[in-house]
Amino acid sequence: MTSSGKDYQSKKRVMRKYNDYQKITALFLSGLIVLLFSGCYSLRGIPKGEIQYAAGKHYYIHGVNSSFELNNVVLSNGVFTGRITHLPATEKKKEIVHLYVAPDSAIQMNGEMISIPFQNIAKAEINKVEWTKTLIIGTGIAIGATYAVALIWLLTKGGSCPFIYSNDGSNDNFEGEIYSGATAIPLERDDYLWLKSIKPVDNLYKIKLTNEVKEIQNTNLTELLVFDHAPGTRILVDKYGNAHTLSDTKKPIAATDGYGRSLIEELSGYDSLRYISQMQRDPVLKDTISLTFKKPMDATSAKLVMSGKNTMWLDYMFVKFTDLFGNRYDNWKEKRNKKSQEELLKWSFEQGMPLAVYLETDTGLKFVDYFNLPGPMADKVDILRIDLSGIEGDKINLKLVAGMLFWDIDYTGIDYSEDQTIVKTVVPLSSATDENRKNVSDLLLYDDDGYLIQPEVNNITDITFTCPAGLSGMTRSVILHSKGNYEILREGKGKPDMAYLKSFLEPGAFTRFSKEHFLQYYQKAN
Amino acid sequence: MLHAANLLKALRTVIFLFAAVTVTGCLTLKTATISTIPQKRNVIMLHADDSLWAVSNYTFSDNTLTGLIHQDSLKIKKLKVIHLYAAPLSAVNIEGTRLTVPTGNIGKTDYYRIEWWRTIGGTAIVTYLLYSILFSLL
Repeated sequence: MTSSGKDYQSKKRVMRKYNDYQKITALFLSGLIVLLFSGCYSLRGIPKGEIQYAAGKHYYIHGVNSSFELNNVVLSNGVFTGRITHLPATEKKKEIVHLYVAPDSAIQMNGEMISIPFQNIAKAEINKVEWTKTLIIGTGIAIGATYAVALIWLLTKGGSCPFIYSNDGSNDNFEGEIYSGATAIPLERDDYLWLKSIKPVDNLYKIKLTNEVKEIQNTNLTELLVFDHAPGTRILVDKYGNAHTLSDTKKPIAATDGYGRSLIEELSGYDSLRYISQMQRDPVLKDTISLTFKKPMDATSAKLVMSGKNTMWLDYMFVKFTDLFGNRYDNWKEKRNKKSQEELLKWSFEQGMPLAVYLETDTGLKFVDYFNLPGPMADKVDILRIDLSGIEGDKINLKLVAGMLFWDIDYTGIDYSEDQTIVKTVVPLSSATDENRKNVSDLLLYDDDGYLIQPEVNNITDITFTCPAGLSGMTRSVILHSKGNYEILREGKGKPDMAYLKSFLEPGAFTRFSKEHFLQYYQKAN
Repeated sequence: MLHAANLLKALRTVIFLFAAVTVTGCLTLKTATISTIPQKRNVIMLHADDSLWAVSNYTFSDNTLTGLIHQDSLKIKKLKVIHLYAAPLSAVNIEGTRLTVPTGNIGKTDYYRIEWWRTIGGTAIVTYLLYSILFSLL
């Protein structure tokens, strides 16, 4: 279905039309995760010094040739004392602490009381979920679990943005998402996506624009920016539409997170090592990555390169936030559509959604710019030009700041090389055909009032572009320039707590909401 | 069609996560006794209080563990190691690189092992179920 107007009833019908297999799959995956979590209880060693802080109510004492069960334990003056008991059959595994004692002679019995010198405890263990100790969450498993949960949500609820596939002659390859985060009409924005897999077929570049989630996606424009440039250089287009060449990109010489942990391995290459926030039970709401790069003494500007994506968690939490509006969701959505872009961007920025960049100067940290949300499905390599005038010395220090667990970053680098001469060709589309074979070219050809509206899952539009003649000795890079916005479809239920919702006007309120939700979720899992 | 392809990709991610978590979860701690230490475990990690020694060429005789302190503990593979926990610390005697401790002072013996049947079986079953459900629905 494709139309140039927005029809409210149509949207409602779309919401009711729901894919059963998505629900079933999600339920199955939920069950799988529950099984995985429930199977994670295992014996884990704990430092002897933490025995008294262990959450156990009962203690198993294992001597070399004897064993006892104790409760009412006390650790005093270097002696561990408890009363012999017998556990009820239904005692929870996780409430038992196991103490291994040697030699047997160290176990002193006095009636029903047992005492053991602390120095004779060889090992202490507790049944525990593997990924939690002091609720430092941010490990691979936590990330995996987060992604799995968010993935289930993505399959059932939606909340991403239009997907782009490019054709290489034999396959349609997923390239990424466009205009992520433009969740209201005033947030409509230009997007520049590098199509790394595209190859001309019959002298045509072919892409697919698809809606695969529960949204109404409104695309205003699609065109290709074809760059012919020197081999060995790379072309990236920043969010303002400016093309930059990269010919000498340097890795950071130091990179740490807000807790001082080195991220140099994670952020130094396009590889499987990545950085995602380490979530701790503390008041910190924003994640800060500190980067240090070498700088030529005479450099007055730099190009900061970042490859990454926003987390599914962020999308998940944004939809959870919209659910708070209950049966007033549509009203809230309409109100947002009447606000100014500045107002909406300000709120988004104050909640830590974009990745903000700060530069350390003699007078303190200076805000430079921010990276737009890239979407959660694929890494996007993005670039920002940074003015270094007034920065002395042979190093620069940058900080990347966003809400906790909102970004998933693979690489950061800096390039001081001058932008080289490139040949840019803007290629308008040749054809655009929707899933019903209807010609929708007019809707995508210009940045105007005509929109390709894709309101349903499985809306697919095939778009072709004529491939311009290549230049001898040059390498080609193809960038998709698109523009649009989308709205998330929700069936709001219940009366909203307006007082609580008003608190989200405060900077950082959404970030706090997200963190509290995350910690609460994992506390329950534990 | 594209949506199905995307769903397949998503499922592949979940299956990968499942496999990763399963493998991680299947590296379990197995409690043993001195007489049931697997033969291929050729290095002992001896823990006593906060101290830790890697011991190789070990023997158990006359109720005493005797072995040589391994100097290059960082290169020891996890699945080649058995962990012994001794108490009190004073029971551990060291003369040069030779370490002895009475077996009566060894309070716990354990080692990590991969439960292959659970890892492979679990992953295979879940993979089969996921794809069966997927293809029956598409």
